[in-house]
Amino acid sequence: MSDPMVALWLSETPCAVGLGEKNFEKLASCGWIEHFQPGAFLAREGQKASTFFLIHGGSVALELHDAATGTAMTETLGVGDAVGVSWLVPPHRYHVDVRALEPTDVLVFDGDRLKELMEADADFGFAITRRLLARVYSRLEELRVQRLDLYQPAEGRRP
Amino acid sequence: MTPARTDPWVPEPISIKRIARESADTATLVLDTSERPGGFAFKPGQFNMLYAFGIGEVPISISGDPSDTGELVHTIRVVGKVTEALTGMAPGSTLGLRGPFGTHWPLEEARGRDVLIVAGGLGLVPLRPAIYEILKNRSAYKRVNIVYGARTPQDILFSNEISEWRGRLDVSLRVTVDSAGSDWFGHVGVVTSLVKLARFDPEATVAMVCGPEIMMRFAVRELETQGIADERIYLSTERNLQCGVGLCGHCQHGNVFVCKDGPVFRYDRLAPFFSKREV
Ligand SMILES: Cc1cc2nc3c(=O)[nH]c(=O)nc-3n(C[C@H](O)[C@H](O)[C@H](O)COP(=O)(O)OP(=O)(O)OC[C@H]3O[C@@H](n4cnc5c(N)ncnc54)[C@H](O)[C@@H]3O)c2cc1C
Repeated sequence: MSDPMVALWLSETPCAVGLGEKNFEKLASCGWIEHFQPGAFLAREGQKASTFFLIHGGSVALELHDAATGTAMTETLGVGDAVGVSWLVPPHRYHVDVRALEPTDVLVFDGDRLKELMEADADFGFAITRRLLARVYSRLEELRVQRLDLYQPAEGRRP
Repeated sequence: MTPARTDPWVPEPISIKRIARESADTATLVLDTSERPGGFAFKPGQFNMLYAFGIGEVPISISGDPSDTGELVHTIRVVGKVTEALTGMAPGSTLGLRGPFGTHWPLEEARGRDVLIVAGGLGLVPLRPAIYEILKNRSAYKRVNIVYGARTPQDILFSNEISEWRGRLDVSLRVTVDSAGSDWFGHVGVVTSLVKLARFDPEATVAMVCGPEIMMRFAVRELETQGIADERIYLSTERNLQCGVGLCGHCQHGNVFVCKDGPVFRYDRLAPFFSKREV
């Protein structure tokens, strides 16, 4: 049985749309609620990735740190966004730092438990994978545009 | 008083009142039109041909307030010899002016509806007069959303005005940048990701979009996904143009000429040519 608060928050995310009662309950049973203060890290680059997050309130930055040039913020994510797919993809390590930009409420999901449920029930596994893939695809599209550096005059742009 | 010129081919000498640096490569020129009979009237979205004497002439959108006819404002980014010459001029010097040319943003059609303005980079320049006009007649419009994407926080144009507009309770303004350091507290990501956050009624929204062509294609796709009909999406395209009066063909997009049929187009009219490489 899932936590009623987790179920409520999950029902408000785009991830829940069309999931069906059985699958919704399975997903909700793997989640819990956490709160992060501004500046707190939800995940650190290189750390074992055993969880993923759905943002309920607030926003986070995905950051890469370089000792020579400092910290680059590559993307910010907010309410309704899913953060992290590394729990599903080897080597199961976070590739970026995820830092709260403001007081941030998230649903955290246990990736190991979720993987077990997904492997045991193909319908559930497909429903979750499809949602993650849609999110990853839309991020890929956005990143494609971002890397073109479109706001530079044509001659200064990346090919 | 100098009479206003009527021959569209003859540049009129006009003096520069002041120049303000907007970012490393962009400057705003304020031209003195107070001596012209009636000042300088234009519609938001229109452009002028600006001539740096002896160097060349380029199309530049008007970026100032349409209700202030005593000044003409242009914001110019240096990309080549003419734009470099124009932005390097000193206050008091003279340049040549032809215009105003072109179509304008559909501010009449947008009355009574939600307005969604999507600007990328220098695309904010031709949209700024529309924003002035909308804010001046705020009660004529329903929800007003402005989303703006820039390269980095340092490239954000008109940052004082953006802060002012953001402070208004009757406008929702969101800014994103493509990349930033950790001292930036705003959004990082493409401008289309901000469209998803805006609240509007897709059935009753007029969208006005300006930015680099690829950005506009992605923006249109997102607006369509959100349910805004092609007939209510307007784009301003800056295909390079020369004559300004539909003769030379430099700015042709299929069978339309940016200079005389544009630069502001209703998307359904531009759609057949918009993502084709050949046109
Ligand atoms: C309707 C319209 C409105 C415009 N409004 C503005 C404005 O408000 N502010 C502003 O800074 N610029 C604006 N432009 C673009 C501006 O006209 C060009 O940057 C200018 O003509 C370049 O002249 P140049 O001699 O400095 O550079 P050039 O030596 O002619 O070109 C330098 C480089 O810039 C590229 N380039 C030139 N024009 C364009 C263009 N239109 N689009 C993409 N790449 C181009 C060239 O291919 C070349 O690589 C507008 C263009 C149009 C058609």
